[in-house]
Amino acid sequence: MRFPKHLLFLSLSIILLTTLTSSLVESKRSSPSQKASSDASLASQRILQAYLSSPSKPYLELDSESFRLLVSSPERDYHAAVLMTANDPAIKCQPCLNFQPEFDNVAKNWRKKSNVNREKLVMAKIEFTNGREVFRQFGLQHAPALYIFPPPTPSNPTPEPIAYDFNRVGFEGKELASTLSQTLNVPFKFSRPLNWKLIAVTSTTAVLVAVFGFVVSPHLGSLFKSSKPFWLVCSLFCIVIFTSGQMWNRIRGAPYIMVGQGGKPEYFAGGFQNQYGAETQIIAAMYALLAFSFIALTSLVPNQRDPTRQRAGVYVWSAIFLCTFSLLLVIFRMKNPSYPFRLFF
Amino acid sequence: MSKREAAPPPPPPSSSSSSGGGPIASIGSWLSEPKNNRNVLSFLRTIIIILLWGAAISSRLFAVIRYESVIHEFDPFFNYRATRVLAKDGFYRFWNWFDPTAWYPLGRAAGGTAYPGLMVTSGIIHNFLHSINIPIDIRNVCVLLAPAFSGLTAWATYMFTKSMKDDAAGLLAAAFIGIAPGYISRSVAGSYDNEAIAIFLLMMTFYLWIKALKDGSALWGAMTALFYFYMVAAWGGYVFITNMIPLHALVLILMGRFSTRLYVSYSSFYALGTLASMQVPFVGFQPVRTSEHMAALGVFGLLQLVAFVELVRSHVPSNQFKLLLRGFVVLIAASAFAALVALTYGGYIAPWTGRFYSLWDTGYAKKYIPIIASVSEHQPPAWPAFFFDLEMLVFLFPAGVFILFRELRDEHVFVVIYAVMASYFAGVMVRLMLTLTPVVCVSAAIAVSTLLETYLDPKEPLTAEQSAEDVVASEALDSNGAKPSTKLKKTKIIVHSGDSSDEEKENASEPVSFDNPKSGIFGLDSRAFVSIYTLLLLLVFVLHCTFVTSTAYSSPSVVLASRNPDGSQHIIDDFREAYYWLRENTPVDAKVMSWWDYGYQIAGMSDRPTLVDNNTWNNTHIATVGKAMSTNEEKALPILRKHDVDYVLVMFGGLLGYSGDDINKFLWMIRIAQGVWPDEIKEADYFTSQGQYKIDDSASKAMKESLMYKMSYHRFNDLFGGRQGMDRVRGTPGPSVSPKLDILDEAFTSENWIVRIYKVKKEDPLGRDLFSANAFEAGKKRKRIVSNSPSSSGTGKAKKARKAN
Repeated sequence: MRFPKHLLFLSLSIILLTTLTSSLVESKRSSPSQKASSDASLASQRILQAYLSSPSKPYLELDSESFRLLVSSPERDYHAAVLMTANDPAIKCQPCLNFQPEFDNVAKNWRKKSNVNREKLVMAKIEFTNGREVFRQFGLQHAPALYIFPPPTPSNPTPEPIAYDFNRVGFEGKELASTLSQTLNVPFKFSRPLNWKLIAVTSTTAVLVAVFGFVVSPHLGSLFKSSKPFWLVCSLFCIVIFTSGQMWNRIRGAPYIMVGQGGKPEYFAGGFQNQYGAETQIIAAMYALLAFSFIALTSLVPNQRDPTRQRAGVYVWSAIFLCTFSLLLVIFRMKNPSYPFRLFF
Repeated sequence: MSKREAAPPPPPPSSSSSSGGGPIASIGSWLSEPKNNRNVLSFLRTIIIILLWGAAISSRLFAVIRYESVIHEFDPFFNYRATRVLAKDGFYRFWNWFDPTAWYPLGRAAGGTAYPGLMVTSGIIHNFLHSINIPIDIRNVCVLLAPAFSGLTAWATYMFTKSMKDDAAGLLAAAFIGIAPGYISRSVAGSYDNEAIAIFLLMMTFYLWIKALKDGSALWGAMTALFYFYMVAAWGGYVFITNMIPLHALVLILMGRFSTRLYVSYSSFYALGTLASMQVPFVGFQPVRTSEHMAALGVFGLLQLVAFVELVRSHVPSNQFKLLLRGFVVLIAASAFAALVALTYGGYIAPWTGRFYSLWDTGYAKKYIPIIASVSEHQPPAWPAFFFDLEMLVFLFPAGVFILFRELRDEHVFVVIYAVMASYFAGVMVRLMLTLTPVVCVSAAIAVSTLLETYLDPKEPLTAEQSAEDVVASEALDSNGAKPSTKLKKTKIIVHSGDSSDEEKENASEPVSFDNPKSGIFGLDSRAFVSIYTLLLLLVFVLHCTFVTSTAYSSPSVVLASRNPDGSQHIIDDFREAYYWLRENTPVDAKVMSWWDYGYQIAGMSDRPTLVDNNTWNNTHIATVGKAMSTNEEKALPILRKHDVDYVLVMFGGLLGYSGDDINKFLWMIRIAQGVWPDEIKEADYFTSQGQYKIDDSASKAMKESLMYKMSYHRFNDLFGGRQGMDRVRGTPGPSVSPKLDILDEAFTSENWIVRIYKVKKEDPLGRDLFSANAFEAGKKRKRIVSNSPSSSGTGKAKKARKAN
């Protein structure tokens, strides 16, 4: 997914070259009667041809200049879907990187369409590094953004671009495809390319599980009956994980950790209804420690048959228990400053 | 697997007696002669439970004392209204109650689309009190129902925990559930909602199920079914029971713990419970036609098969035949499952409804049913919410589950499953904290009582050398003095032979009971230390619960409170002021349009027809209101006219800093409207080009033109002497020029501007459309009074017009 810069330039130059050659080929092919019109719609047609014939990538890589050419050419008779993104690793745009393969897939799917339909849409991409002006022009604070530019019509020479709403629709290629098919009024079904790796892995696992199940099935009952520690650990793990807010992280997509002031890592999110991934893990670990020290006090220590050792055990586990609890209260007061109770600190 | 299991273990003969008198062992061992103390102990237990009841009630009365005896929030207003119908007109009138004023113009068959359990309960209480000449107002019954039932919940939890461990743990659990904020949050006085009685019913059903399972009794199974029926009639959350009990049965079968007790109790529960639940009109045929209920049916079928196989196996010796039978079970189960899938695809069985489905696929609701995702109680909670609601119980909870795992009787399995499932559900949806709280209280109580009985036990254990030296002496000690210890050991042995697993036998040697002289605490200092700080922690827990209840959960939300500079309390009563204005100043059939949150309140307090309310059954209708609120006046007017809207009501917190206002909910209105009219309403249009949600001058065009925005900020600047007003919720200035309304007249604005009511203008008498008529008027005005700004003159005109009316 990471794209070295020189490669990017290489691909850009390849695209430019293909653009040139294809336009040459096109001009050779076109008959004299069509020549006048093709001259007039030169820029937009050239881009379309480049798009249709570029072999390496399913979409066009644009920069500010070519973007302007594409969008503002008055004779354009096709839609343009432009993804504005920042895949440069230096920018650390995780959503951009996540969305890129989906976009690739949609573009590949679109290429498979018949010629007639294919000419209705050009898919393109602008990297932030190549198109700062475009980002500025659209006032973009976030990446990725995706705009669909409808072709200008005589009644409406500068149609408003349609913004694709990632927040609502999400980052799935299926949704992009259905939006495109609605906008263009062309049936377009998204099919994911077969993920051979995934298929291989799943089928192997399935076979393994089946074999395993076949071998184990006579002992399945005993798995439920006598492997109590296994089920114990499983259920306690689930309980601790869920009560420390793991599902919130999953649903809200919380960041694992944030960089606070002065470049220091920030483990705890401010606010009562907010948290980070690391925060959940810390809290889960504290809950586990608290529960374990409590279990130690109730079950382990009384079994100690040596009075001195037992006394030491009682005090040590009590100290761990009380200190961890106090610490938990400190963290909780950080989250909820009006909370009045404290234990030690 | 083995023959020992084939024959179901006989119910422990001592178990029935032990549930009555055995648990005395825990407390009674401190006392020399348990027999003499039995009455004293049961008297003490009764006293403690009554005291706990008092504590549970009194900690829920903050709202009544601070404000007054008032119904809270939104949903309770409908329940209250329905209860009034029931109390006034009787049961049959309530059963067939069609409410033409809700969901105008559709109406709502309220009697058949609500869970009637709550209303019937308070109706019965009301009638009973009246029959013994206590003339209590139905409102007070409704307000105080939830606290009264919380005492019953404490009792049910006591019984449940008692069947898990012993009396001491039961009492602790009752104390915990009585004051745990996770439960108080939905059962303070005035929170007259289904949950008020449902948690009691939940715990009671679970307790009876455990009891039925322990005894293998069809009678208790029928009792379980009875309470299950009550639960079905009371709360939609009954589906939790519908799936928990079958899950428990299934796990027991998988563990090889199938027994005739399980067969009898589950079959009687399921057959009777399902038939009973179908009598509730709102549920109807769902138990046989929806996926939520299929697990229960499947386990019922499986249980019949397993029972059949067990029966045949006990009569037929051949090994091959056993294999054949097992294959037969698997085959039947698989084909039944396939049939289920086929029926679901065929449309005979409804798939999971969105609300339940979104519990598993957590992204589902946001995308497809924004109306569910928009409700704040359907959001997932972050960890502070758990700690806030449960404090130290949250980490004693796993410790308690661990202790249950040591013995892992059939009923302990139930608590373990309940614990895992409920923590998942509570993690996904903050509202389900309510179902998690009881199990947390139960297992935390088990943990704490285990700790306390270990450290309060006055017996000194033997050291390693001592016990090695004289085994004989200890045996003599056993036979001599400690009768209860031998008794307990006996019951334990019986239980273990019932479980019949090798692991269990190993555990049996592991010291579980404090009666075992091999384990225990030496010396007084460690005992005193641990006991004292445990008691202190329990005290802190009480303080925490009181603090949380008083600060977070006792606000009725129809009455707000703030503090004056001198510290005295200032009551903000805008909602009731406005609803009362509607009641007194508008015709009885005036239709009021507002966002659905306020539908029940308007119906309950103003008694006026509403377009949408909190019973969100018709998404399109709600989206229509959302569309009217979010489009411009030209497009909104036809919608208002078509629905005969006379008044529009909005909440605006900008002046006071009340954050739950309509501008903050506006995005959901847009989203819900967009779900139905994606071409006309687009969420992105309401953001600035930078993607921000703004309300000042840089707000987007669609935002500024929307009816909601105009209604909220209409004349806002007049309050600030014509200068730009400051919105204290958004923390930004409002629009520099207050928006002007063409189709609405301001009718009423409450004291703190929280509620604003607008009247939809009548058609222009000269046949012009409202916009050109307004422009004409404004033009004339401007000529006459040059100095006034157009907006204020417009409202002056409006006021005059109202007076003329």
